[in-house]
Amino acid sequence: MEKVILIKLGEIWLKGKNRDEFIGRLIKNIKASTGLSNKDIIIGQGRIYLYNLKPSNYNLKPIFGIHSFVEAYEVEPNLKEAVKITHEIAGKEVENGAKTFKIEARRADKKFEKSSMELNQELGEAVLNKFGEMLTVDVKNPDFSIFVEVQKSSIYLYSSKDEVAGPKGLPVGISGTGLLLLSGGIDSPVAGWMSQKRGMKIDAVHFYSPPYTGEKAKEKVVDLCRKLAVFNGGEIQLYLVNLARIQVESKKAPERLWTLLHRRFMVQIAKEIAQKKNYKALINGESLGQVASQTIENIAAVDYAINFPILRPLVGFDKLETIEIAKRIDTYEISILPFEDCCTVLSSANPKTKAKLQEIAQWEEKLKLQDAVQEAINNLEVKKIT
Amino acid sequence: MNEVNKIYLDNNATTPLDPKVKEAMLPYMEEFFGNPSSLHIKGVEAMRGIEEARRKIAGILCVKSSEVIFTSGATESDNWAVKGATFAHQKSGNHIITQKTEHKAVLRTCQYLESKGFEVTYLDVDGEGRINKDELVDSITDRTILVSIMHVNNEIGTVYPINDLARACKNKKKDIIFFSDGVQALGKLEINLEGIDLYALSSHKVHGPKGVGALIIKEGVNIEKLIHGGNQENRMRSGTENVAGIVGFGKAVELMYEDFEVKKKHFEKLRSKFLEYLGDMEGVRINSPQNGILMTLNVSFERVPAEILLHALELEGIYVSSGSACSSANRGASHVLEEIKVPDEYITGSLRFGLSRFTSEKDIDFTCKVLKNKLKELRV
Repeated sequence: MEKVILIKLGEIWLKGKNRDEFIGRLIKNIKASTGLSNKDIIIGQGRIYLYNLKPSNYNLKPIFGIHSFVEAYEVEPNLKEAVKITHEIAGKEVENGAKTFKIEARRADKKFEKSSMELNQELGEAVLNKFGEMLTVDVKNPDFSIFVEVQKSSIYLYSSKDEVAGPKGLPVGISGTGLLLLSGGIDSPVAGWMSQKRGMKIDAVHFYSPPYTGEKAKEKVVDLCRKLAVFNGGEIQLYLVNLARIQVESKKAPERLWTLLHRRFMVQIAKEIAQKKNYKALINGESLGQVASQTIENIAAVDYAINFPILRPLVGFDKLETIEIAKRIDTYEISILPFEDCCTVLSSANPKTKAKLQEIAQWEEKLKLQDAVQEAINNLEVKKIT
Repeated sequence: MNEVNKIYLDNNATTPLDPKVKEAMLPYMEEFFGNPSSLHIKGVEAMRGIEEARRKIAGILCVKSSEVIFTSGATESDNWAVKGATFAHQKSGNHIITQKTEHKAVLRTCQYLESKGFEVTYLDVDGEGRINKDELVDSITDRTILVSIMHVNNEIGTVYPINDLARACKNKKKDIIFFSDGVQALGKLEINLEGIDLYALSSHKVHGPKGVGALIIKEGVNIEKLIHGGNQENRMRSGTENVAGIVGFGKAVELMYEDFEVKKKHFEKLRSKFLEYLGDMEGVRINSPQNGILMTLNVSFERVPAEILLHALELEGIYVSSGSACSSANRGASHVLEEIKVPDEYITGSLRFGLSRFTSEKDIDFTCKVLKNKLKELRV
């Protein structure tokens, strides 16, 4: 009898032709974050089994593509062994106060002597024989289920109580790479996480404006990246772009346009980086109508600035929904640190809510900032954050 | 002392370690590693270092060695003085007097005691941060246990006549305990503790290491312990001593008072030069009192958010601190600047320059030159 980590694959098991690619990516990500090697990993039907995992490396929760995982017993494929472990699991749950149970057997190896139904029956009886005074069967809503999974060379058994929900989603890296515009606020880290959840490996670009922002604001963004790196296979690149000159020179335009001009310049710079480094899309934390500047007119005005896809995973989120995720992924407490106040000096107090594209474009031309954009890109600072 | 091309003018926040202090500390991190309580030679070596530091500090403050108790720093000393004195005398009273521009380590401790049922009077200050002596004396009742008035204000540099205030208080009520936070006075003034019962000190404000300070407890003054345990520090403050830190602290204090008159002249020159430069700039308000401590200059610049100015100076290698958070007069502005009623158009733009003996005239020249240029550029 051996203990093994059994990983259930959700959505990715359903992928047809590409299943191998999905599973290959997931295994690569598991290896990167647990330090396991090929010999410790076995792929079964809709399952991945991990051996020799030290408790300190047990961190499977941030690995997208995992539906759930559980520490299971692995025994020789015969009924006697299965009964022994069924007793052990039932005994433990009885101690924890359980009163009702059911057996949920799943025979992946059709050559096994008993069918799933027969296994349910016989193992159920075996439990009742031993714990009949303390336990009764309840197939609809039991206190716990004993899962019995019969594969070719082993049977795996575990209690439903020990199963831990995984983050679901798709393995990071399977959906290409994206470049996240990371501001330091609450929204953008969540937008990054949402893209990671759907299999996108991300890196981040942050715009700062000395002396209007300081080192502490930069440090905060580094801290946020560290949190996102956990979901990214352990590593994330941060591009730091100095936007001060562009912001200061944008002040020649009417104040109500500043915010939009900044945003358009930011996506222009981000696009240049993305094309150079082969990112497939930009990602930002905009949500429709959340603040005055995020009207559909203004979102469109940003889109029209570049001919490049921008993903907005938060578009349909209420602020509270975003905050809930930010808390869950541990970025909220960092995001609310107050280090970027002084940006307010450069942003409009009353931003235009419905931008006229023509007016913006005219100002952009008048400002003649193309060499400032180039300068910002040339002076890019890159940090690898783990 | 300064990094090449860097000018550190945030010496009220903390000071760079003097290389001579570091040198004095090193043996206590290496060969003299013993626990001062041990009976063998390793213990004795460590104990000797501590006692020498204690003698140095006692000598400079003209108190007995046994009256110097080392702590983890001024926040602990402030907490201990205020809570310790109050708890020890709560049978005879329940009233504390302090003033509104004390350090937070005193103010928040007083608020804590209020939550436990004690009464606290917070005296108003005038435009230069001073309190009115008559008001202080008038607020003493027969229930007053403790008066806590700092020696020098950390943000604007107001110097309080603590000996005079202590005398006046004790004339009205003999058994009152007078505590003073001396963090910003140590090494900067010649200190006379006549009439002062408790006095708090910090090491890292005088080019010593962080994590060490002291509370002077005059003989006969009864205060309750804050930290219980192995009975170190003459049974007053438990915990294995921060030996290297204490040795460094002693050395640092000694160095502060070496050639004190020469240093004082140096600071006088720096300050008058600085003020002269500032006089040539527009929209400047000096928040520090004219007769404030020489090393602290708190200055407001009209229509320039302090945080931006701070970062602009930082980009030129000049480090200062700001008296308020950016762009909002109501949020995050320093309580001291609010209490001395710096006008709204100035309060958001206040910087504090803290000089040290390592500051040169050239540093001031360069800082003011940069300041003048940045003001032009950043005024909104």
